[in-house]
Amino acid sequence: MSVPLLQVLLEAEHAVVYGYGVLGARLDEEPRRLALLAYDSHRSRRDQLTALLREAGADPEPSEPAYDVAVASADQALELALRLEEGLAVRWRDLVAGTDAPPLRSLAVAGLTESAVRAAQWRREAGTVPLTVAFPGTT
Amino acid sequence: MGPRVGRRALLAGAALLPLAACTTEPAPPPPPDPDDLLRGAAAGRERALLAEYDRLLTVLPALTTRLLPLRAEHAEHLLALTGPPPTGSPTATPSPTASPLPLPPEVPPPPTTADALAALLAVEQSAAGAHTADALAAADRDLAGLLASLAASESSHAVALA
Repeated sequence: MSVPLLQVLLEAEHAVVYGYGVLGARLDEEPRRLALLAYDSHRSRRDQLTALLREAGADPEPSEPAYDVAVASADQALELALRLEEGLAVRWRDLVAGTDAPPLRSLAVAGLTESAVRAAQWRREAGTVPLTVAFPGTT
Repeated sequence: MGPRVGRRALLAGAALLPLAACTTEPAPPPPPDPDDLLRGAAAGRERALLAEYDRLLTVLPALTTRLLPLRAEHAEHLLALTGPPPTGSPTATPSPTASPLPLPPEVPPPPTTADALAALLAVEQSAAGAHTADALAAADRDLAGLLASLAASESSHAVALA
């Protein structure tokens, strides 16, 4: 069990959940629906990571009381959503390459894939082209 | 016992000859590295995707703007798996695979854009599933990371094909 990598992911998911809470309020109907779906999905991942860390006998990283996110417009909200997913994708890919345990790798590939798909959706919402990148999770 | 064994034994000294003669068998060819097989299979999937994009671009040139960026990403995937091709012959990369690569589902020439996009989506999804399975099987962690990225990339193409 890669406890340090899982902790890094848990911290990242805490921040992403917080970020979606802030940015969702700035969005109109369709993108807001997308943000709500993402919010729910990231909460699930956060809970899953928390449970995995407890199973491993570790103390799951708690969420910060607040994160430094300022969103003044719908455009900024779309930008932030894309940035959150792209950043998270890097962490998930790090976990893929940081563990040999099939269940963890499986979780990590699923997390990476979800973030890549969401990033493409946010680019579509923002009118950014191309919609996709060749190697999600790399910088 | 070939002459190679004798030469080696002589080099090692006469005292070692009986031992060397007993233990040195002609080495069988080493088994293929399982990771190389995974790499080769993933490259096969990327080639199949490229072929499918090329086929549809020929039939439906109106989709060029939409499909070319996706096709370019598959070309990057293939390059990441195989390394740069030998100079002067971009198609000369051999693919010595032990078993035939799974082929994408055969589709007839698509009469409509919707059919074409659905056909591409099916091939992308099938490749994403196979990349995912192979990312779990890879022993080399960098290869696992690469295959995971490819799986995520093919899955994200669904957004562009929708």
